[in-house]
Amino acid sequence: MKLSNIEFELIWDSNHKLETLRKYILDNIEKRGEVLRWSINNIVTKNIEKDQKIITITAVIINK
Amino acid sequence: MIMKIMPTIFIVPTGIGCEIGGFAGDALPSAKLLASASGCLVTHPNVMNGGTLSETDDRILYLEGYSLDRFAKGEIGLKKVNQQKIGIIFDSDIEKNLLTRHLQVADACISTLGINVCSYAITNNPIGVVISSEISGTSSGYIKNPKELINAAKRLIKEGITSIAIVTKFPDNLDSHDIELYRKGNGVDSIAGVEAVISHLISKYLRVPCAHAPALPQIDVEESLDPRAASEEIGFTFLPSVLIGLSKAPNLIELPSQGISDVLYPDQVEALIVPNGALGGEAVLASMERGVNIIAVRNSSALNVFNNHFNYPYLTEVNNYFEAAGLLLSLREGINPKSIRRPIVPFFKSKIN
Repeated sequence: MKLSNIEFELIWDSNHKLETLRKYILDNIEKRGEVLRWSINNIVTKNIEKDQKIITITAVIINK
Repeated sequence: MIMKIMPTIFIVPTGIGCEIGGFAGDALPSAKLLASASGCLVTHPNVMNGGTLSETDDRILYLEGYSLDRFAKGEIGLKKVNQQKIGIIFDSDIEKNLLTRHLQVADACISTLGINVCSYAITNNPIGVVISSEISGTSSGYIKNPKELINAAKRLIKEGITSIAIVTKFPDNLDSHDIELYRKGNGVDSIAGVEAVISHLISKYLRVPCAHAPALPQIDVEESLDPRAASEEIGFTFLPSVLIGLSKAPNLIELPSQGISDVLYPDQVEALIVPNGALGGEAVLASMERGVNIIAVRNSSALNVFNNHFNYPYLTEVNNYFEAAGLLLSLREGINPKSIRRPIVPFFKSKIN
């Protein structure tokens, strides 16, 4: 069992409503490992017209 | 007349340098105020643990962060207990004198406070704490040997322990500049993030109440110490607040459950209070999914995750925890907050299509 810190960016657009944002993030963390702790640490607007934002996720993951 | 309670979650995220709650249990007075206003407050060790100082309050439920997220997601309920049977895990890397100090904390909590500290286990090998800083300026880290921690916890559970305090050795070469900034009230608590990782690990794999205290060597007196960091400098260990918090921490009830009385269920939660720039945590997002009232308090931190990105409709931003308490009281009493604010928007503007 190995713990590690990761940080990555995701595009958040109108395909994902607020109600599904958490699942969208978790699905992306789980591609990298089993999640132990995470949060959104930054959000910036990428394209206002397309309602696109870039969210920065930091997480501690477990790999077995 | 008995006023109904209004179960509320109170979060000050660990390791993000909040002006209130980013130091040594310095959000505890705010928690007491909010508990008084709500009648039932669920909060976490970062809010309640002040090194040597802490206290219990029948209206406050002390819940480790990973379990608090699970509660907010609807996965567990919370059952009040009279007393937990506490076990302590000590990192084998803690030197003898410092270990003795910690064992004497347990003696003091038993003899002076009546807390049921039952037994302890020492890990077979060092846990290996590694501290790191995120790009965003928050504190984090990991441990090299998580299995050592989990195995020690399993030994305690096997002996009938119901909650676990964890004491780990922290590196002697902590960044002195970060520590100096923190002690003067200007920085992020550089060890807080990895503390959360350690306790999350026990919550995830053992599913019992738990909390963490770092074992650190004594440091020189700082004349210009910020008052918010003072409760970490008046003793030899940070363990007292952990044992006080765990002594009456609620049991975690896996849901769905049947036939268990006096359980606080997640769907009873009516409000969540969080710093206004720290809306990106799992408990907050899960509460937004459930339509919970969110009170976002101006409390500066290293993060800038505000509601302008989410546009969550049931969020009210307030200037401070006094306002948050007033808002909670108005909700608890069934008084429309709009009735108290000025100006009042004329009703003709409320027509729907």
